[in-house]
Amino acid sequence: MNAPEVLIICRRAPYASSAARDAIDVALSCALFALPVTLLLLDDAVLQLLPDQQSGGIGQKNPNAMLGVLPMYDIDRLYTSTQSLALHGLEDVRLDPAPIVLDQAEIRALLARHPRVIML
Amino acid sequence: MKFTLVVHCAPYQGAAADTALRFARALLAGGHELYRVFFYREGVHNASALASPPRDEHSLPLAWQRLAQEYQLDLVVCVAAALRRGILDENEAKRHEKPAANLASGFELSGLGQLSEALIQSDRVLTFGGRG
Repeated sequence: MNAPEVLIICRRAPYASSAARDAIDVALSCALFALPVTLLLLDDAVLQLLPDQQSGGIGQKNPNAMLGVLPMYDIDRLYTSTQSLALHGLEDVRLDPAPIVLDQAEIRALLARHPRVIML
Repeated sequence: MKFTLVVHCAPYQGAAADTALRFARALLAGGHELYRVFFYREGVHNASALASPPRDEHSLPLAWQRLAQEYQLDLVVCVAAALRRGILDENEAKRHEKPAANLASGFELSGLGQLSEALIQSDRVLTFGGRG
């Protein structure tokens, strides 16, 4: 059977809940099963990509590091939207890791070709 | 069509926990197959044997158990999420030296691999109570 593609959508800020970490856990588990994974960070989730986060002070892991290792597991499609960047006044090139930016039509197309979606 | 439902929402936390149950009933009544229900994050609280709502109120853990019995459903609770939130079966209670186990019968603790495997086996995978 062809391995189906999985879309993981995260919409939460890095420390607002366990969502950021749980999304990465799901992505890694899918990678272990050789499922092609696309990670889409929308709304506040784009804040997971702010560089140089010193999260040790609140006893949390650094999302830059966790997201940064995903390409080692063949998860190299990291997307966000123009709206999410605009919402927080961010530039994609300053983010770590730098995401690919999609407009609304591209997001619709991305959703349309994924019958398997995990959102958190 | 073969479905898998992923439940991220605890009873009373939001409408999504109830919606997932009603969606499961509707798809089964429509002749579809429910390959697995995977309880993740706050959704693990749907599997608590200790939830004791008043008798005239609807109990989600009980409703899932009944549906599972009727249709032989595979109700899987993410073990890592469950341990963090204090939902333990007998084995885990022993392993972590806890005084009690509280995983309701009909539910099973297992890893995220069960979600990945369900993603392969199912035609549709729907998330209930994301954004939490």
